[in-house]
Amino acid sequence: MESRAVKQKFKHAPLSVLKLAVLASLGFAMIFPFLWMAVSALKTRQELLDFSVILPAVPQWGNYAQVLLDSPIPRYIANSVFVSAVTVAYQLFSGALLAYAVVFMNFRGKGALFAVVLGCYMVPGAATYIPCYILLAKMGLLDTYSGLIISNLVSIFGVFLLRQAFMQIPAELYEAARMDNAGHWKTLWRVVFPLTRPTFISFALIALIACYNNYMWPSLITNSPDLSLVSQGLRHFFIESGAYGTNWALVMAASTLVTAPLLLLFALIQKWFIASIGADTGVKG
Amino acid sequence: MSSIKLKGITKSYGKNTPVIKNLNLSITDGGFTILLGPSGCGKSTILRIIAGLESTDIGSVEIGGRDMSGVEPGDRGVAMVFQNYALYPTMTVRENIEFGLKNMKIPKAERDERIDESVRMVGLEDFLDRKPKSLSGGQRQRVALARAIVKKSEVFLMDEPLSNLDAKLRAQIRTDLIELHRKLGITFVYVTHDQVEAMSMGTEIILLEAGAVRQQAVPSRLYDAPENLFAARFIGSPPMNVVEAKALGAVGLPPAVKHIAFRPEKALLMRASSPLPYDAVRIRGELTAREMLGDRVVCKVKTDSCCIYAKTADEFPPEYGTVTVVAHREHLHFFDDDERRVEVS
Ligand SMILES: Nc1ncnc2c1ncn2[C@@H]1O[C@H](COP(=O)(O)OP(=O)(O)OP(=O)(O)O)[C@@H](O)[C@H]1O
Ligand SMILES: [Mg+2]
Repeated sequence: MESRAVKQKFKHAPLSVLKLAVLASLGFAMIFPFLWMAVSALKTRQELLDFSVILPAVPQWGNYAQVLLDSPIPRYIANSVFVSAVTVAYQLFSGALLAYAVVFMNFRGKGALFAVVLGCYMVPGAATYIPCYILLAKMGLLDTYSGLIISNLVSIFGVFLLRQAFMQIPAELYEAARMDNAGHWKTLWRVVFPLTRPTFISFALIALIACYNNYMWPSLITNSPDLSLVSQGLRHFFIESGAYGTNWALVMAASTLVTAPLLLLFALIQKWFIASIGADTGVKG
Repeated sequence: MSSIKLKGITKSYGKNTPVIKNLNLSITDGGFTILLGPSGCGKSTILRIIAGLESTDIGSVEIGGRDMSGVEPGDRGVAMVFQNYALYPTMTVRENIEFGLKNMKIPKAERDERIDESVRMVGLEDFLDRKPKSLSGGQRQRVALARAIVKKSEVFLMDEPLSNLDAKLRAQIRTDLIELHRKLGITFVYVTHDQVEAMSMGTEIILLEAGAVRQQAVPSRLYDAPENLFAARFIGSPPMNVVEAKALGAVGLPPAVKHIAFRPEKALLMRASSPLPYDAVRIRGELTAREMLGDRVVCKVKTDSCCIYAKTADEFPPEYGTVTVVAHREHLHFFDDDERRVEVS
């Protein structure tokens, strides 16, 4: 028995070494720009422009300190974290309600409703900029976070994702909840949600990244530097230091810090995120 | 009071032809009523209409004399056991049982008391903190039962609750269900396509075909006096033998009689040469197969016009070859051209 297991292990050894090598090199290619950026932030000006220098002689931690203590970057990060968190919370909530209605409830015009929702998905985002802008202007919500958040209350992608997950749930379970006197609200949060939690988590993560990275729409809506989100803020920061005098090390430090929250988030929930990719909803068995 | 009445129910799915047309049903209070019929005849649909999970095109449902139109499933005073149990996978056994009580806003002390009682009734005391995933099929089945018991409903609806269990467990839970029914004294409505289940548990059987009632009777009557050929052929294993009256050449029958039927249990096999008993019909044929069941032997006899089964307790079944099937007059059933029962004195 044992020898057979060992033999099998060896039989596959060359294959797994190759697989590891391929994966490692792909992984390295992915992480290289980030590492370069993070390390560059520790270099002096001269070191930074000399490509033969890989690691700085003396790490200039002061660059990070300067960005953290002496620039508006932390404020931009806080802005973005706040706006993304609120937006995604709303998107999860509205997505769950809409998906629940479309999957479990029977009402006249259900098909039409979902067709309209899907239709919205097909409209390119850029095409909605002008009408949305006018709408927000009329509501007096330009240059406010409310305007920014309200215009992103619903994510069609989220509705679609949650709908697919909800459809995996056997109808019997929903019916059992009805027999158990559970209203729609209870059924959604006590029966449906626990079964589709992985989908909620992966959607939250995807939406958070999208929100956090969003550049175009926030820069149209918000003007005041105080309200800037990171992607816009980074640009301000970049321009302020002047075209010729750009202190690249500081820009690198700022960029590294800006990506930190996303990395942190991913590190925290990657276990669930990976588990949710291609995972079933746990209904079987 | 929890008799159930369906009045003039018609139900169709979407724009298809109705699966149930103008159905009238009356289910006795406190009985163990079986909805029996072949696959696709609408048993589940009827049960779900009673539960309120399915709407109807026309007609009304009354439970305990109260009209149920517009009453939510949870408010009908009925509990349901689903075929696949439909336990909430993310909740423990206790939470599964408790969920309905919590929704009914029953205070904690009473909830605990009721859960204890129902769990003891089905013997699940040691599994309260497990998730359904880590239970066997039979244990899940019992959780589903406890979840229904705990609600103290007046009506229990069950849709083929035993179909996912192995034969031995099924037999055991059958007797458990009979006991449970006697202990609770409430109305049971039980859907199955298995006549053995129906005959062994039911106090009343409603036999359905294509959404219509074929016969409603106590099990013994369904077996002893089927009202039509469908009922005759559905009950029994193997089913009733049906032969054309003409083929038998039987004399002294009213002209209305077109079919004559008898149960395989009542058929005797004789050597062709044996003398014919008094007052019996006989058919000659060829014995082509013998099936040993342990206590009985099922013999298949091919005649000129049909196939006849005989179930005999004989320890020495006749040899293969030509035999005569004999059925006594008192064991014969007669049916007319419309396949309805005819009483012949
Ligand atoms: N949701 C549905 N949509 C369309 N047709 C349906 C639906 N549910 C049931 N039917 C049809 O209605 C008829 C009766 O179905 P039903 O489930 O009541 O049968 P059943 O007697 O319970 O059968 P089984 O013993 O196989 O469970 C079937 O012909 C079925 O195809
Ligand atoms: Mg069914």
